[in-house]
Amino acid sequence: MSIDKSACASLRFILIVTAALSVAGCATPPKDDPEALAEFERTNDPLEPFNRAVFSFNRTADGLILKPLATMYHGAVPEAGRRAFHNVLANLREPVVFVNDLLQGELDRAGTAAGRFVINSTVGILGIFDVASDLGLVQHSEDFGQTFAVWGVGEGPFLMLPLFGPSNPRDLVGLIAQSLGDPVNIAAVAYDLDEVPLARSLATGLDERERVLDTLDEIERTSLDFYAALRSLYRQRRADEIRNSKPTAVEPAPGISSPGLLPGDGTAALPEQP
Amino acid sequence: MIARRSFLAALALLLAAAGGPAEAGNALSEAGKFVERLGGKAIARLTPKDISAAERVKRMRELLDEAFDVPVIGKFVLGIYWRRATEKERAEFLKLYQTVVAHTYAGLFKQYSGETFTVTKERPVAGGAIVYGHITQPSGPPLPIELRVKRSSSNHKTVDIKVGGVSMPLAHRKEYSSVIRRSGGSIEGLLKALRKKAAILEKFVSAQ
Repeated sequence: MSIDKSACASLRFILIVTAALSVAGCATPPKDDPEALAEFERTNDPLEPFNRAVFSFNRTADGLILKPLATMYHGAVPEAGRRAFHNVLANLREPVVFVNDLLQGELDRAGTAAGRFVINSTVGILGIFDVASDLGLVQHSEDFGQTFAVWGVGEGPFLMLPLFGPSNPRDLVGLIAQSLGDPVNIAAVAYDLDEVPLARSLATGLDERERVLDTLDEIERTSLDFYAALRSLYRQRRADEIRNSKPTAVEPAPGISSPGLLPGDGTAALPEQP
Repeated sequence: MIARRSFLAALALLLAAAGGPAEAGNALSEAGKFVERLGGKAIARLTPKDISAAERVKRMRELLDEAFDVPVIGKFVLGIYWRRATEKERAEFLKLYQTVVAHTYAGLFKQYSGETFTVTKERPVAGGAIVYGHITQPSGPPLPIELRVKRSSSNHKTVDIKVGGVSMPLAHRKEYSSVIRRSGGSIEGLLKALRKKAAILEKFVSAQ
Protein backbone atom coordinates (compact mmCIF):
# COMPACT_ATOMS: atom_id res chain seq x y z
CA MET A 1 0.00 0.00 0.00
CA SER A 2 1.72 3.15 -1.17
CA ILE A 3 1.06 6.65 0.06
CA ASP A 4 -0.59 7.57 -3.24
CA LYS A 5 -2.94 4.66 -2.90
CA SER A 6 -3.93 5.53 0.63
CA ALA A 7 -4.60 9.12 -0.45
CA CYS A 8 -6.76 7.77 -3.23
CA ALA A 9 -8.59 5.53 -0.77
CA SER A 10 -9.19 8.51 1.52
CA LEU A 11 -10.57 10.53 -1.37
CA ARG A 12 -12.86 7.71 -2.42
CA PHE A 13 -14.01 7.48 1.18
CA ILE A 14 -14.96 11.18 1.24
CA LEU A 15 -16.91 10.73 -1.99
CA ILE A 16 -18.85 7.85 -0.47
CA VAL A 17 -19.59 9.89 2.64
CA THR A 18 -20.75 12.84 0.55
CA ALA A 19 -23.03 10.60 -1.48
CA ALA A 20 -24.48 9.06 1.68
CA LEU A 21 -25.06 12.51 3.17
CA SER A 22 -27.15 13.64 0.26
CA VAL A 23 -29.45 10.65 0.75
CA ALA A 24 -29.80 10.66 4.54
CA GLY A 25 -31.05 14.22 4.97
CA CYS A 26 -30.72 16.52 7.93
CA ALA A 27 -31.93 16.88 11.50
CA THR A 28 -35.03 19.02 12.02
CA PRO A 29 -34.27 22.05 14.17
CA PRO A 30 -36.94 23.14 16.72
CA LYS A 31 -37.70 26.36 14.78
CA ASP A 32 -40.63 27.59 16.90
CA ASP A 33 -38.63 27.50 20.15
CA PRO A 34 -35.74 30.02 20.20
CA GLU A 35 -34.11 28.65 23.37
CA ALA A 36 -34.30 25.06 22.22
CA LEU A 37 -33.07 26.19 18.80
CA ALA A 38 -30.01 27.80 20.41
CA GLU A 39 -29.34 24.57 22.31
CA PHE A 40 -29.78 22.60 19.07
CA GLU A 41 -27.29 24.84 17.29
CA ARG A 42 -24.74 24.44 20.08
CA THR A 43 -25.05 20.69 19.70
CA ASN A 44 -23.77 21.30 16.17
CA ASP A 45 -25.07 18.08 14.64
CA PRO A 46 -27.21 19.00 11.62
CA LEU A 47 -26.41 15.62 10.01
CA GLU A 48 -27.69 13.69 13.02
CA PRO A 49 -29.88 11.19 11.11
CA PHE A 50 -26.94 10.24 8.88
CA ASN A 51 -24.55 10.17 11.83
CA ARG A 52 -26.86 7.92 13.82
CA ALA A 53 -27.10 5.54 10.86
CA VAL A 54 -23.30 5.37 10.67
CA PHE A 55 -23.17 4.92 14.45
CA SER A 56 -25.43 1.89 14.33
CA PHE A 57 -23.30 0.48 11.51
CA ASN A 58 -20.20 1.08 13.65
CA ARG A 59 -21.78 -0.63 16.64
CA THR A 60 -22.62 -3.66 14.55
CA ALA A 61 -19.10 -3.82 13.12
CA ASP A 62 -17.66 -3.31 16.61
CA GLY A 63 -19.83 -6.03 18.10
CA LEU A 64 -18.97 -8.48 15.32
CA ILE A 65 -15.26 -7.85 14.90
CA LEU A 66 -13.40 -5.22 16.90
CA LYS A 67 -14.79 -5.80 20.39
CA PRO A 68 -14.44 -9.61 20.28
CA LEU A 69 -10.84 -9.21 19.03
CA ALA A 70 -10.06 -6.65 21.73
CA THR A 71 -11.63 -8.89 24.39
CA MET A 72 -9.62 -11.88 23.18
CA TYR A 73 -6.46 -9.79 23.19
CA HIS A 74 -7.26 -8.60 26.71
CA GLY A 75 -7.73 -12.17 27.90
CA ALA A 76 -4.74 -13.68 26.08
CA VAL A 77 -2.03 -11.10 26.74
CA PRO A 78 -1.06 -10.15 30.31
CA GLU A 79 -1.17 -6.51 31.35
CA ALA A 80 2.61 -6.02 31.09
CA GLY A 81 2.58 -7.28 27.50
CA ARG A 82 -0.30 -5.02 26.52
CA ARG A 83 1.41 -2.06 28.11
CA ALA A 84 4.62 -2.80 26.19
CA PHE A 85 2.66 -3.06 22.93
CA HIS A 86 0.88 0.21 23.69
CA ASN A 87 4.16 1.93 24.53
CA VAL A 88 5.76 0.81 21.25
CA LEU A 89 2.83 2.18 19.23
CA ALA A 90 2.74 5.41 21.24
CA ASN A 91 6.47 5.83 20.70
CA LEU A 92 6.04 5.50 16.93
CA ARG A 93 3.57 8.40 17.14
CA GLU A 94 6.08 10.75 18.79
CA PRO A 95 7.57 11.96 15.47
CA VAL A 96 4.17 13.05 14.16
CA VAL A 97 3.43 14.64 17.55
CA PHE A 98 6.77 16.47 17.21
CA VAL A 99 5.87 17.70 13.70
CA ASN A 100 2.52 18.99 14.90
CA ASP A 101 4.06 20.66 17.96
CA LEU A 102 6.36 22.53 15.57
CA LEU A 103 3.50 23.44 13.24
CA GLN A 104 1.70 24.88 16.26
CA GLY A 105 4.78 26.81 17.40
CA GLU A 106 4.89 24.84 20.65
CA LEU A 107 8.66 24.52 20.92
CA ASP A 108 8.74 23.23 24.51
CA ARG A 109 6.30 20.48 23.69
CA ALA A 110 8.20 19.67 20.49
CA GLY A 111 11.30 19.25 22.64
CA THR A 112 9.39 16.92 24.94
CA ALA A 113 8.16 14.78 22.03
CA ALA A 114 11.64 14.62 20.47
CA GLY A 115 13.25 13.82 23.83
CA ARG A 116 10.71 11.11 24.48
CA PHE A 117 11.29 9.52 21.08
CA VAL A 118 15.07 9.51 21.45
CA ILE A 119 15.09 8.24 25.04
CA ASN A 120 12.35 5.65 24.69
CA SER A 121 13.65 4.32 21.36
CA THR A 122 17.08 3.71 22.89
CA VAL A 123 17.06 3.40 26.68
CA GLY A 124 13.44 2.28 26.51
CA ILE A 125 14.34 -0.44 23.97
CA LEU A 126 12.35 0.42 20.83
CA GLY A 127 9.74 2.16 22.95
CA ILE A 128 8.77 -0.87 25.05
CA PHE A 129 9.51 1.01 28.29
CA ASP A 130 8.37 4.58 28.81
CA VAL A 131 11.56 5.68 30.53
CA ALA A 132 11.02 9.27 29.45
CA SER A 133 7.92 9.63 31.66
CA ASP A 134 9.97 8.66 34.72
CA LEU A 135 12.34 11.46 33.77
CA GLY A 136 9.53 13.98 33.70
CA LEU A 137 9.01 14.01 29.93
CA VAL A 138 5.28 13.38 30.08
CA GLN A 139 3.49 12.11 27.01
CA HIS A 140 1.07 14.42 25.20
CA SER A 141 -1.09 14.05 22.13
CA GLU A 142 -1.02 16.13 18.97
CA ASP A 143 -2.36 15.49 15.51
CA PHE A 144 -3.09 17.41 12.34
CA GLY A 145 -6.71 18.02 13.33
CA GLN A 146 -5.47 19.82 16.46
CA THR A 147 -2.95 21.77 14.38
CA PHE A 148 -5.65 22.95 11.98
CA ALA A 149 -7.72 24.02 15.00
CA VAL A 150 -4.79 26.02 16.39
CA TRP A 151 -4.45 27.64 12.96
CA GLY A 152 -8.03 28.79 13.30
CA VAL A 153 -9.84 26.25 11.14
CA GLY A 154 -13.35 25.68 12.51
CA GLU A 155 -14.44 22.15 13.31
CA GLY A 156 -17.55 22.16 11.11
CA PRO A 157 -20.52 19.96 11.97
CA PHE A 158 -20.18 16.82 14.05
CA LEU A 159 -19.50 13.79 11.88
CA MET A 160 -19.66 10.11 12.76
CA LEU A 161 -17.18 8.37 10.51
CA PRO A 162 -17.56 4.74 9.52
CA LEU A 163 -15.15 2.68 11.68
CA PHE A 164 -13.17 5.76 12.82
CA GLY A 165 -15.99 7.04 15.03
CA PRO A 166 -16.73 10.59 16.25
CA SER A 167 -15.13 13.33 14.16
CA ASN A 168 -15.82 16.47 12.13
CA PRO A 169 -14.70 17.72 8.68
CA ARG A 170 -11.59 19.38 10.11
CA ASP A 171 -10.48 16.26 11.95
CA LEU A 172 -11.32 14.13 8.91
CA VAL A 173 -8.92 16.20 6.80
CA GLY A 174 -6.50 15.87 9.73
CA LEU A 175 -6.81 12.08 9.55
CA ILE A 176 -5.97 12.16 5.85
CA ALA A 177 -3.02 14.48 6.49
CA GLN A 178 -1.93 12.07 9.22
CA SER A 179 -1.94 9.15 6.79
CA LEU A 180 0.22 11.18 4.37
CA GLY A 181 2.43 13.07 6.78
CA ASP A 182 3.42 10.57 9.46
CA PRO A 183 7.25 10.53 9.48
CA VAL A 184 7.45 6.89 10.57
CA ASN A 185 5.15 5.79 7.74
CA ILE A 186 7.01 7.89 5.20
CA ALA A 187 10.30 6.37 6.32
CA ALA A 188 8.87 2.85 6.27
CA VAL A 189 7.51 3.24 2.75
CA ALA A 190 10.81 4.74 1.59
CA TYR A 191 12.48 1.53 2.76
CA ASP A 192 9.91 -0.57 0.89
CA LEU A 193 8.16 -1.61 4.09
CA ASP A 194 4.82 -0.91 2.45
CA GLU A 195 2.82 -2.93 4.98
CA VAL A 196 3.89 -0.81 7.93
CA PRO A 197 1.24 1.97 7.69
CA LEU A 198 -1.66 -0.47 7.51
CA ALA A 199 -0.20 -2.77 10.15
CA ARG A 200 0.26 0.21 12.47
CA SER A 201 -3.30 1.37 11.92
CA LEU A 202 -4.70 -2.07 12.68
CA ALA A 203 -2.49 -2.51 15.74
CA THR A 204 -3.44 0.94 17.02
CA GLY A 205 -7.12 0.18 16.50
CA LEU A 206 -6.80 -3.00 18.55
CA ASP A 207 -4.78 -1.28 21.29
CA GLU A 208 -7.16 1.65 21.56
CA ARG A 209 -10.26 -0.54 21.60
CA GLU A 210 -8.81 -2.75 24.32
CA ARG A 211 -7.97 0.27 26.46
CA VAL A 212 -11.56 1.53 26.39
CA LEU A 213 -13.33 -1.84 26.77
CA ASP A 214 -14.58 -1.11 30.29
CA THR A 215 -15.03 2.61 29.78
CA LEU A 216 -17.24 2.27 26.71
CA ASP A 217 -19.30 -0.43 28.39
CA GLU A 218 -19.78 1.87 31.38
CA ILE A 219 -20.84 4.81 29.21
CA GLU A 220 -23.30 2.61 27.36
CA ARG A 221 -24.67 1.17 30.60
CA THR A 222 -25.21 4.52 32.32
CA SER A 223 -26.25 6.75 29.40
CA LEU A 224 -29.79 7.42 28.24
CA ASP A 225 -28.66 7.95 24.66
CA PHE A 226 -25.31 6.32 23.90
CA TYR A 227 -24.85 8.30 20.68
CA ALA A 228 -25.60 11.68 22.28
CA ALA A 229 -23.37 10.82 25.25
CA LEU A 230 -20.41 9.94 23.03
CA ARG A 231 -20.94 13.01 20.87
CA SER A 232 -20.82 15.26 23.90
CA LEU A 233 -17.85 13.49 25.50
CA TYR A 234 -15.90 13.53 22.22
CA ARG A 235 -16.42 17.22 21.60
CA GLN A 236 -15.39 18.22 25.12
CA ARG A 237 -12.38 15.92 25.07
CA ARG A 238 -11.30 17.22 21.67
CA ALA A 239 -11.62 20.86 22.77
CA ASP A 240 -9.44 20.03 25.78
CA GLU A 241 -6.80 18.36 23.61
CA ILE A 242 -6.71 21.35 21.27
CA ARG A 243 -6.09 23.84 24.05
CA ASN A 244 -3.54 21.43 25.58
CA SER A 245 -5.59 21.11 28.78
CA LYS A 246 -5.22 24.80 29.58
CA PRO A 247 -8.22 26.04 31.56
CA THR A 248 -10.81 27.97 29.60
CA ALA A 249 -12.17 31.33 30.61
CA VAL A 250 -15.78 30.89 29.65
CA GLU A 251 -17.43 27.54 29.54
CA PRO A 252 -20.84 26.76 30.90
CA ALA A 253 -20.60 25.03 34.25
CA PRO A 254 -22.93 24.55 37.18
CA GLY A 255 -22.97 27.52 39.46
CA ILE A 256 -21.63 29.93 36.88
CA SER A 257 -23.75 32.68 35.50
CA SER A 258 -22.95 33.34 31.89
CA PRO A 259 -25.61 35.31 30.08
CA GLY A 260 -26.60 33.75 26.80
CA LEU A 261 -25.49 30.31 27.92
CA LEU A 262 -27.71 29.83 30.92
CA PRO A 263 -30.44 32.40 30.35
CA GLY A 264 -31.82 33.32 33.72
CA ASP A 265 -31.77 29.91 35.29
CA GLY A 266 -30.47 31.49 38.47
CA THR A 267 -27.33 29.41 38.93
CA ALA A 268 -25.26 32.48 39.68
CA ALA A 269 -23.65 31.16 42.84
CA LEU A 270 -20.10 31.11 41.46
CA PRO A 271 -19.49 33.76 38.81
CA GLU A 272 -16.08 33.75 37.14
CA GLN A 273 -13.69 36.41 38.32
CA PRO A 274 -12.57 38.80 35.61
CA MET B 1 25.08 0.56 33.90
CA ILE B 2 26.43 3.16 36.30
CA ALA B 3 27.17 5.44 33.39
CA ARG B 4 23.62 5.13 32.18
CA ARG B 5 22.24 5.79 35.63
CA SER B 6 24.20 8.96 36.09
CA PHE B 7 23.17 10.03 32.62
CA LEU B 8 19.55 9.54 33.60
CA ALA B 9 20.08 11.31 36.91
CA ALA B 10 21.67 14.26 35.16
CA LEU B 11 18.83 14.38 32.68
CA ALA B 12 16.30 14.23 35.52
CA LEU B 13 18.02 17.11 37.30
CA LEU B 14 18.03 19.12 34.12
CA LEU B 15 14.33 18.54 33.64
CA ALA B 16 13.57 19.28 37.28
CA ALA B 17 15.43 22.56 36.93
CA ALA B 18 13.30 23.40 33.92
CA GLY B 19 10.50 23.47 36.43
CA GLY B 20 7.11 21.84 36.69
CA PRO B 21 3.97 23.29 38.24
CA ALA B 22 4.54 24.24 41.86
CA GLU B 23 3.07 21.74 44.27
CA ALA B 24 0.41 23.19 46.49
CA GLY B 25 1.72 21.31 49.52
CA ASN B 26 0.61 22.76 52.83
CA ALA B 27 -0.53 26.00 51.26
CA LEU B 28 -3.92 24.52 50.40
CA SER B 29 -6.97 26.55 51.32
CA GLU B 30 -10.07 25.06 52.87
CA ALA B 31 -11.43 24.22 49.40
CA GLY B 32 -8.20 22.47 48.42
CA LYS B 33 -8.20 20.49 51.66
CA PHE B 34 -11.85 19.61 51.10
CA VAL B 35 -11.01 18.14 47.67
CA GLU B 36 -8.00 16.29 49.07
CA ARG B 37 -10.20 14.75 51.78
CA LEU B 38 -12.88 13.97 49.21
CA GLY B 39 -10.34 12.11 47.04
CA GLY B 40 -9.14 10.16 50.07
CA LYS B 41 -12.68 9.26 51.13
CA ALA B 42 -13.66 8.21 47.62
CA ILE B 43 -10.67 5.87 47.34
CA ALA B 44 -11.11 4.47 50.85
CA ARG B 45 -14.86 3.89 50.58
CA LEU B 46 -15.47 3.09 46.93
CA THR B 47 -12.48 1.16 45.65
CA PRO B 48 -12.31 -1.96 47.89
CA LYS B 49 -12.80 -4.98 45.67
CA ASP B 50 -14.63 -6.99 48.32
CA ILE B 51 -17.76 -4.83 48.55
CA SER B 52 -20.85 -5.64 46.50
CA ALA B 53 -21.94 -3.47 43.58
CA ALA B 54 -25.03 -2.45 45.55
CA GLU B 55 -22.90 -1.44 48.54
CA ARG B 56 -20.63 0.63 46.28
CA VAL B 57 -23.62 2.49 44.87
CA LYS B 58 -24.99 3.06 48.38
CA ARG B 59 -21.66 4.53 49.50
CA MET B 60 -21.50 6.69 46.37
CA ARG B 61 -24.96 8.05 47.17
CA GLU B 62 -23.78 8.97 50.67
CA LEU B 63 -20.71 10.69 49.24
CA LEU B 64 -22.91 12.61 46.79
CA ASP B 65 -25.09 13.82 49.67
CA GLU B 66 -22.07 14.74 51.70
CA ALA B 67 -19.82 16.45 49.17
CA PHE B 68 -21.81 17.36 46.05
CA ASP B 69 -24.52 19.93 45.52
CA VAL B 70 -26.77 17.72 43.42
CA PRO B 71 -29.61 20.27 43.15
CA VAL B 72 -27.24 22.89 41.66
CA ILE B 73 -25.74 20.31 39.29
CA GLY B 74 -29.15 18.95 38.33
CA LYS B 75 -30.47 22.42 37.65
CA PHE B 76 -27.54 23.07 35.34
CA VAL B 77 -27.99 19.71 33.62
CA LEU B 78 -31.63 20.44 32.87
CA GLY B 79 -30.53 23.80 31.45
CA ILE B 80 -33.19 25.72 29.61
CA TYR B 81 -35.75 23.12 30.60
CA TRP B 82 -35.39 23.74 34.35
CA ARG B 83 -37.58 26.83 34.24
CA ARG B 84 -40.14 25.07 32.09
CA ALA B 85 -40.38 22.10 34.43
CA THR B 86 -43.05 21.96 37.13
CA GLU B 87 -42.04 21.58 40.78
CA LYS B 88 -43.04 17.95 40.60
CA GLU B 89 -40.96 17.33 37.48
CA ARG B 90 -37.94 19.07 39.01
CA ALA B 91 -38.14 16.99 42.17
CA GLU B 92 -38.47 13.75 40.25
CA PHE B 93 -35.65 14.73 37.90
CA LEU B 94 -33.26 15.45 40.80
CA LYS B 95 -34.10 12.14 42.45
CA LEU B 96 -33.59 10.12 39.27
CA TYR B 97 -30.50 12.09 38.28
CA GLN B 98 -28.87 11.39 41.63
CA THR B 99 -29.50 7.68 41.10
CA VAL B 100 -27.97 7.70 37.62
CA VAL B 101 -24.96 9.72 38.80
CA ALA B 102 -24.40 7.42 41.78
CA HIS B 103 -24.34 4.40 39.47
CA THR B 104 -22.14 6.18 36.93
CA TYR B 105 -19.46 7.22 39.43
CA ALA B 106 -19.64 3.94 41.34
CA GLY B 107 -18.97 2.14 38.05
CA LEU B 108 -15.91 4.29 37.44
CA PHE B 109 -14.48 3.55 40.89
CA LYS B 110 -15.00 -0.14 40.37
CA GLN B 111 -12.33 -0.04 37.66
CA TYR B 112 -9.84 1.54 40.06
CA SER B 113 -6.49 -0.19 40.17
CA GLY B 114 -3.98 1.62 42.34
CA GLU B 115 -4.13 5.08 40.81
CA THR B 116 -3.29 7.97 43.12
CA PHE B 117 -4.98 11.34 43.31
CA THR B 118 -2.99 14.51 43.98
CA VAL B 119 -4.21 18.06 44.39
CA THR B 120 -1.77 20.38 42.63
CA LYS B 121 -3.17 23.88 42.70
CA GLU B 122 -6.26 25.95 43.16
CA ARG B 123 -7.74 29.20 42.01
CA PRO B 124 -10.21 31.21 44.08
CA VAL B 125 -13.39 32.30 42.37
CA ALA B 126 -16.23 34.27 43.90
CA GLY B 127 -18.14 31.98 46.23
CA GLY B 128 -15.58 29.20 46.18
CA ALA B 129 -12.63 27.84 44.28
CA ILE B 130 -11.54 25.69 41.38
CA VAL B 131 -9.22 22.96 42.58
CA TYR B 132 -6.88 21.23 40.14
CA GLY B 133 -5.21 17.89 40.51
CA HIS B 134 -4.46 14.73 38.63
CA ILE B 135 -4.76 11.00 38.80
CA THR B 136 -1.57 9.10 38.04
CA GLN B 137 -2.32 6.07 35.93
CA PRO B 138 -0.27 2.89 35.65
CA SER B 139 0.25 3.58 31.95
CA GLY B 140 -0.21 6.76 30.00
CA PRO B 141 0.01 10.38 31.05
CA PRO B 142 -1.56 11.68 34.29
CA LEU B 143 -5.27 12.38 34.00
CA PRO B 144 -6.09 15.97 34.96
CA ILE B 145 -8.97 16.45 37.39
CA GLU B 146 -10.70 19.74 38.12
CA LEU B 147 -13.33 20.34 40.78
CA ARG B 148 -15.36 23.47 41.19
CA VAL B 149 -16.18 23.85 44.85
CA LYS B 150 -18.86 26.09 46.29
CA ARG B 151 -18.37 27.44 49.80
CA SER B 152 -21.27 28.00 52.13
CA SER B 153 -21.29 29.11 55.75
CA SER B 154 -20.77 25.64 57.16
CA ASN B 155 -19.29 23.47 54.41
CA HIS B 156 -18.03 22.94 50.89
CA LYS B 157 -19.91 21.29 48.05
CA THR B 158 -18.71 20.19 44.63
CA VAL B 159 -20.71 21.73 41.80
CA ASP B 160 -18.64 20.62 38.78
CA ILE B 161 -16.17 17.84 38.14
CA LYS B 162 -13.94 17.58 35.10
CA VAL B 163 -11.93 14.51 34.23
CA GLY B 164 -9.46 14.89 31.37
CA GLY B 165 -11.04 18.23 30.52
CA VAL B 166 -14.51 16.69 30.27
CA SER B 167 -17.12 18.12 32.60
CA MET B 168 -19.52 15.41 33.68
CA PRO B 169 -22.44 17.81 34.31
CA LEU B 170 -21.88 19.49 30.92
CA ALA B 171 -21.79 16.08 29.20
CA HIS B 172 -25.07 15.17 30.92
CA ARG B 173 -26.60 18.50 29.98
CA LYS B 174 -25.80 17.93 26.31
CA GLU B 175 -27.00 14.35 26.36
CA TYR B 176 -30.22 15.06 28.23
CA SER B 177 -31.15 18.10 26.14
CA SER B 178 -30.76 15.86 23.10
CA VAL B 179 -33.12 13.33 24.70
CA ILE B 180 -35.66 16.08 25.40
CA ARG B 181 -35.40 17.47 21.86
CA ARG B 182 -35.86 14.02 20.35
CA SER B 183 -39.01 13.51 22.38
CA GLY B 184 -40.48 16.69 20.93
CA GLY B 185 -39.29 19.08 23.65
CA SER B 186 -41.06 17.18 26.39
CA ILE B 187 -39.49 16.93 29.85
CA GLU B 188 -41.71 13.92 30.48
CA GLY B 189 -39.79 12.19 27.64
CA LEU B 190 -36.54 12.66 29.59
CA LEU B 191 -38.14 11.54 32.86
CA LYS B 192 -39.45 8.43 31.17
CA ALA B 193 -35.98 7.56 29.86
CA LEU B 194 -34.47 8.28 33.29
CA ARG B 195 -37.03 6.11 35.11
CA LYS B 196 -36.27 3.27 32.76
CA LYS B 197 -32.50 3.73 33.10
CA ALA B 198 -32.66 4.01 36.90
CA ALA B 199 -34.66 0.76 37.07
CA ILE B 200 -32.18 -1.05 34.81
CA LEU B 201 -29.22 0.23 36.83
CA GLU B 202 -30.76 -0.82 40.15
CA LYS B 203 -31.56 -4.23 38.76
CA PHE B 204 -28.05 -4.57 37.34
CA VAL B 205 -26.31 -4.00 40.70
CA SER B 206 -28.72 -6.11 42.73
CA ALA B 207 -28.13 -9.00 40.32
CA GLN B 208 -24.36 -8.89 40.86
